[in-house]
Amino acid sequence: MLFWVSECGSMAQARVGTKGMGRLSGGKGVVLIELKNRILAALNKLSDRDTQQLAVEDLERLAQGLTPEGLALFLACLYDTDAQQKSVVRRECIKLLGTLATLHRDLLASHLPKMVANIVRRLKDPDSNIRDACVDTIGILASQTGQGIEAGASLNVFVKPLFEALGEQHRNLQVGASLCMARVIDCTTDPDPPTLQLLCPRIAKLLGGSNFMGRAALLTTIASLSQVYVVKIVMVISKHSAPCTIFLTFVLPKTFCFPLWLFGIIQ
Amino acid sequence: MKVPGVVTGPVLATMITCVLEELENTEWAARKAAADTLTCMVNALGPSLNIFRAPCTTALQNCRFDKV
Repeated sequence: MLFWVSECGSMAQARVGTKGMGRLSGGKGVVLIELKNRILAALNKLSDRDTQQLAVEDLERLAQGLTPEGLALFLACLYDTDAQQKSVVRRECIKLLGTLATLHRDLLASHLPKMVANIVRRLKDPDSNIRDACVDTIGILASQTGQGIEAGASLNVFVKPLFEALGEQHRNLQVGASLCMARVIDCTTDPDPPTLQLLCPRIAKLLGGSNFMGRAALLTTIASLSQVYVVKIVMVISKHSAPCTIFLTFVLPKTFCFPLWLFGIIQ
Repeated sequence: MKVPGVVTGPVLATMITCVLEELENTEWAARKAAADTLTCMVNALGPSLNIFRAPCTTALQNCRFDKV
């Protein structure tokens, strides 16, 4: 307990320190090194059952007050955990990626490719718990990513590495990547139709191959794909009904649009 | 009548053929997933699947005696 209190105290100091020493070039490095030590200490504590809960709380608290440099450092520490670590550590590291994404949405864009690559690599893990955590986390990432400059750019960040993974002959990887793909399509904030349509022939090609091992999982991706518009329209309407109804009137055929328009008015 | 969605036109045709092929897969899990996917697609896309009604029914008839 005493140890915990002293940790909290020094953490508060560190946060004040980042503000105070921001202008000094030397001071900043010291703060970052201190932060790194604290993150590594917490990650080490994760592997012991007695200190596990404490470590999770510590890491979540550390994740909250991060500078951009701090975030990069935190992510680097999370990437470094390898297969030798206990499965609890590996799972928490994956979950923390999601936590960081929700806390630092605005800083996310530049880190995203590396985060996704890291998650995809973890899909090879023999522990199914961790693969499930990967699928959940990639869903969180997809829901936190805003629309990119180009249409579909934010989707491509996820889709490209996932397709590369689907091409590898590894059962867990193929199943996991298929599930991730379905989750990304379900969760994305930018369901760009041309990008999504490009996925279809590639999925068909994979299913046509005789030695593809994640068939059942990839079929759920097709289900997600075919549901995209129906779900998104309802979501958009509930957010801002008036401009959306106008949009729908121009884009959708009248027969399908009329009930939706009524729905928008009622809402 | 066409329902606008991501999966329409030729893309829909490829997807449906894929799913129907999977219905005849030797692996039970794949057949089950294909059936579930077909349910999802029918629910989501509805009337635009009208043209595919005949092959769909034949495929479903063929696996009528499959274990659930």
